[in-house]
Amino acid sequence: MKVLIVEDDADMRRLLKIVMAGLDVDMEEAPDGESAIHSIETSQEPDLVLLDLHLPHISGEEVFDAIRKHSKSAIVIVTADILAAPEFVSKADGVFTKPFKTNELIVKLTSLLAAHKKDLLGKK
Amino acid sequence: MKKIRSLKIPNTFDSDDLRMRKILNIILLALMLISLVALVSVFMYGDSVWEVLSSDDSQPIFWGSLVMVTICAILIILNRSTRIPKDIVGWLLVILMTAVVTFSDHPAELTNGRSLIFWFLPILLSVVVLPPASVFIVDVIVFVIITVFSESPDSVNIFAMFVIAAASLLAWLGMSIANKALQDARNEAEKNRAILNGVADGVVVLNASDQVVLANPAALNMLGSAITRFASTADEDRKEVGGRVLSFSWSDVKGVGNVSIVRDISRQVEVERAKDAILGVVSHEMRTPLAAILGFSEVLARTSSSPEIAERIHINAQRMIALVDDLLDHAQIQAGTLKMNRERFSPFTLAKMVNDLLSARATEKGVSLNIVVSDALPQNLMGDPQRLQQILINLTWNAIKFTDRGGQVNVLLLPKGDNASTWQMLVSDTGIGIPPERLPDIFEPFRRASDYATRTHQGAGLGLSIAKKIALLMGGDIQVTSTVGQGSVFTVTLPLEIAE
Repeated sequence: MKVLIVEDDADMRRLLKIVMAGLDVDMEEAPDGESAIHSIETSQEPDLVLLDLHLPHISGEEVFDAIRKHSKSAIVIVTADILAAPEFVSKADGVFTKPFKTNELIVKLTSLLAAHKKDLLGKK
Repeated sequence: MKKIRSLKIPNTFDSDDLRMRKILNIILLALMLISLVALVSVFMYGDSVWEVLSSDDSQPIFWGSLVMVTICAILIILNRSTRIPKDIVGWLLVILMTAVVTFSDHPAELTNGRSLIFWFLPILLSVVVLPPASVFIVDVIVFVIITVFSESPDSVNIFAMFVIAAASLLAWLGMSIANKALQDARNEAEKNRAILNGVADGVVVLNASDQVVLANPAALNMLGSAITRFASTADEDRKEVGGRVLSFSWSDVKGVGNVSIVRDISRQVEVERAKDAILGVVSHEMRTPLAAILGFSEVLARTSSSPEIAERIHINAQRMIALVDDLLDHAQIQAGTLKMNRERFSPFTLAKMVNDLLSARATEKGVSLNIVVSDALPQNLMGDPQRLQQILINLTWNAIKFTDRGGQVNVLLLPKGDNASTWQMLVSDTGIGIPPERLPDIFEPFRRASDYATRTHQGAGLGLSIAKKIALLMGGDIQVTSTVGQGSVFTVTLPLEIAE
């Protein structure tokens, strides 16, 4: 399983990696929207994307639309923008506002990855 | 048309001067017209100019009218000149009229007979075309002429002179009062104009067909060329015109027209935008590092050898987040951008959430916390559960904070009366209470009722103010009653809407 972390804050990327260390997943990082889209288009499609909304150059919203268009990855929004978060509740697979409870995030990611795995096995 | 216009007085005099010259002009034109009629009428004495001029009857009328027409024409021209002081033409006309009267009849008739009344002509004329007091000078001239024309000192008509003097006095009095009233009205108008020109707000008046009939300098300055299409420019409450944000407020003033007050609110809009920007900074730039602190401290609490230190970091970072959230809510309330959700929720779940979050803290403080949901309250309601929880947590946590060990905090959720359209959340405590003089402003931001007490409590003093604003936004309210030393009761009243 592969998780793509799209987050411009290096400390936050590090925290997310530490939190997910027990999940047994490959983690790829993208510090901005361009590299996130590049990563999805060129390398192996991630099973799940953790996406920040405030990103330099290309906004998180645009990245969200691009991922939805190119892949079937589950998308979990992790944002500090509590004003923008509500509109993603229905669109994304999960929405967390910073600060989030690390254990709550783990629970959500675990269930999403399990569901995705089942999906993949079903197709095979 | 152009010729007729050229007979008008040019608009280059001050208003007083202009008014006098206009009156003079009318009188001179009328006199000239009468003289012209007289000049033409002499031709009924004969067919040719020669015949007319040779007739003894028509000769004086012909020459007299001709002289009159000429003099009137000269006076009209003089009256239009800016170089001739206004009273000169007036005096010339009065003298002309006096002369005409003097030679209009036999001296005997002018002093004691049928033409005595003619003297009123120059006298009344002088009141109209000259400063009112000039009438007395004309009086003297007339009296001198009458005296000179009288056959003997005994036959001087003193009685007539007395009447003329009395009439002059009345005319002078009337004219002086009228002039004074005119002056007052003009001063008043001048004052209003000065105010209109001086105010920072733009004032624009439109007539019934949306044409601009008045615009003060501030309006012209703000609108520039847009003033010509004002009605379509000001069709909205606020609009950007030439880089400025203008607000328009209309009122229909009877007898004046549609009056619009134009205000430059660019600065205000700028401040609003800056406020929104600060909101964004608070929201994003402060939450991101705090989230990192919280997250790392959570990881540390699980993995480090001194988890209690990680716990302290976590708790303090949480306090900071709570403060940021309060400030953000406050800013949103101020900006009017705080939105309430409307979804199905269970009052019981709401009560359970609050209990789960606060019971441990109440126990820690030695305060007993009882949360009860009335059976009479419907199972599911419509509203914003997150915001309701925020209110209830705020009030309940306050109650716990201000209640001493061994005290009680009771929370009751119930419908208000039978067949109710509202429901209530009551939070009562046996705490220190709030003194009556502090009650009116405990819902004001950045104030804490605890300030009076020696004990200190943490927080920005925003909680109650935010709770109240949220309740108001939900169409409800929060009331408080309190007795010092016995405790307080906070009552949140909310509209009751049963979920389908």
